[in-house]
Amino acid sequence: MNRRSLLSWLGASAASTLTPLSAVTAARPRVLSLESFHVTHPDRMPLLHNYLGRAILPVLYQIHDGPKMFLEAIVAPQTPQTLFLATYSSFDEMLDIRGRIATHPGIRQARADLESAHVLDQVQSQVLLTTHESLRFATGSNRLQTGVFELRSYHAPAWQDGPPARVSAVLHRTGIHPIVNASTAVGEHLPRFTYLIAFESLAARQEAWARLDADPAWIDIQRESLARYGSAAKVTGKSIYKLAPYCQWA
Amino acid sequence: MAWTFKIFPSIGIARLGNCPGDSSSDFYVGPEIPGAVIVPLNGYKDPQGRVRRQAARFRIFGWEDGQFMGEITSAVANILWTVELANTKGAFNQFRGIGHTNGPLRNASIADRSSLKITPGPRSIGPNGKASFNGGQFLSSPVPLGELQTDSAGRLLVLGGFGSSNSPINAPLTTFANNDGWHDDVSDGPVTATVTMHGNTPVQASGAWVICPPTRFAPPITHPISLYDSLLQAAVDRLGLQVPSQPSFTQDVYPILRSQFLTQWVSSKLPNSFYAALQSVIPPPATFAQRDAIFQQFRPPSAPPTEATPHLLPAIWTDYFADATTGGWVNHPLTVTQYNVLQAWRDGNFINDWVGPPAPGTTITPDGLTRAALENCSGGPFFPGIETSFLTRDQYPFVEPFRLDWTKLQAGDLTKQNAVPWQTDFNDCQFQSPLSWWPAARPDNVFTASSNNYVAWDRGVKSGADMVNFWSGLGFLVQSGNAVIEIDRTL
Repeated sequence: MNRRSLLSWLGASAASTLTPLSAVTAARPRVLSLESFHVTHPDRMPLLHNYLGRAILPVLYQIHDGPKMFLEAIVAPQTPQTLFLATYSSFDEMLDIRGRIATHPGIRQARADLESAHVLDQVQSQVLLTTHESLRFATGSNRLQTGVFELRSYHAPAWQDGPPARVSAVLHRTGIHPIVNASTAVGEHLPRFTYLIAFESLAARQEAWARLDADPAWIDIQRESLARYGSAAKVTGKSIYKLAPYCQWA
Repeated sequence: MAWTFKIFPSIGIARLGNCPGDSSSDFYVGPEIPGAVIVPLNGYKDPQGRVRRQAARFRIFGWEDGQFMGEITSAVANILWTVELANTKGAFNQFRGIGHTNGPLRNASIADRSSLKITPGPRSIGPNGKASFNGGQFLSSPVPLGELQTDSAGRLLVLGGFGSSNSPINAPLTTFANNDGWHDDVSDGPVTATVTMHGNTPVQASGAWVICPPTRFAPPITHPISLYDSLLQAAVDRLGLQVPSQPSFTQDVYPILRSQFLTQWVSSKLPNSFYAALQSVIPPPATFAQRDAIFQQFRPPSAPPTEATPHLLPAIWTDYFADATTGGWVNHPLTVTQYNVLQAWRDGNFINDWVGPPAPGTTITPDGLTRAALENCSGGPFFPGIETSFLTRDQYPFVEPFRLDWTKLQAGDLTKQNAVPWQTDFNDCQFQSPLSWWPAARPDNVFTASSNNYVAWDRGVKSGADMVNFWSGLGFLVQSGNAVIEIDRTL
């Protein structure tokens, strides 16, 4: 995908603020879109923020009421990077929203400005399928405004039908509360599951994963997976983010 | 949940300049992406004609439970950097060729050997910090070696010396490499860091090294054998590193051929027949006969050091120059790995991935930082060398490819065998029939914007003393369309 087509893709994407859980459950979204925008130089991040926050955001706010958020990478294999996460009730809705954004005159102009300033190095896009326990966006919580978000993917041969309920139970027990849990339909390392998890701080994150690693139930799950499938659930990628400056938590 | 951290580049390069300031407009950061050529927006020289220093920028990268996580900045960690720079040339052995590592001492008549070592000691800085390497002395004469600072993300910037060489005892300059009573302000030393992720205990990062060598006047010209090539070979030979048996034409073969081609902009001596032959093999695949015609022009690394092959490439002198024990009046071969790449290509065992000359990437990577730093340094001949010496390639311990064991070396070790002052070597090591020395580092002949004929790059500089006094007036080479021309000459 060359830069021009990437930018076209970008023009069909957008963002807004986080949405309360009530709205999520009412809409029952099924598609999760993840787009990461990599800029050519850290100095150009403000231009990307302008584009996403001032051009895309107001338009998207009007046409899409599903959950969506912008995250800025603080530890990731490739930085600087902004991640746009949005959920849709269907592929059709996702394509419709993207199409409307792509043809919006103001956004087209903003996109042209972005391109002429050579802001973007590349855009990577994934479309995932959500599970029924996904999308637990908190309502009215300010605690994560200053917290961190971890995007973590597992390759888990034992979870062919989705993470078992006892995986969710042990995660919650150890203080790991995914906001999003989605599966990859096409790609490498299948079956693959992606979690977006909010933590109050890096220290809280560290402690929570340490609790999970030491949890007897988790150890049992991993041991059983290894015995039955030849492989325990393995982390295939993880990145840590904070909320982008124009993305409000509540 | 265990974090490990490493500093990159594992060897960074901070080059001298006589522009004294340390604000961001007074210096520029060296290449951080392989293949990238840095042309400072405000020029290589300041309005007074002084050469801006090239800073080395160091970054921390983190692994969590063995998984690569990316760069660690002050957004998520407290980073305390410690750097030590030293210049110990005056207290080390005279350079007598790489076969003579126990040569007589420089400044042998001076009993107080510590008075010959410029050792200001280590400096530590945290976020938004600054520190200077003042306090070192040579024969009681102060010699500042540079500064440190951190940027807004907590990355480290090392600025080296000012190109100031002097003799506090007014000694004459008598040789190219061993001038007693003289010092310069080249330096090197370890770079370490303590990283404290928020909420965690401090962790010591795997250390790096910084070299503060002379200015690079020909940034677009790649070295036939770069320090990256030489240390890659050291990793193959000493650490068992495996390199792919089937090279990529674009990534492996082309850079070797290109460096020969680029030599035309800094030396008038490369035969025209080579350029014609080169045109026959790009784009690939070409025929075996065409590839073989190129391949046969390179000196095999297995050739005995006594075998003179001045008609072969690279057209540069050997490590064993004038060594009576080897009869070493020969040219320097490619590394074994480079030669194997060419041989595989000649034999048709290569990946034809050619879509045109590769453009530099845009992504900062740990390994890319190291490669970008080292590919701009000379990897030979080490007689005694530009940025470092044969000791680095042949003797110093590495903990992994390109990462010296920073715990077993002393600040100053990487430059102590190089010429003192560097300017006398720079002056002497121009084209010396029938071969060149380091035309990519120290051009022999160049083109100016107004001339289609070669002119001597060092015109007007007639002695080592002239080079000491006027080095900063020499011109830089820049790409201009399809040509490379000299600019910013102020002599």
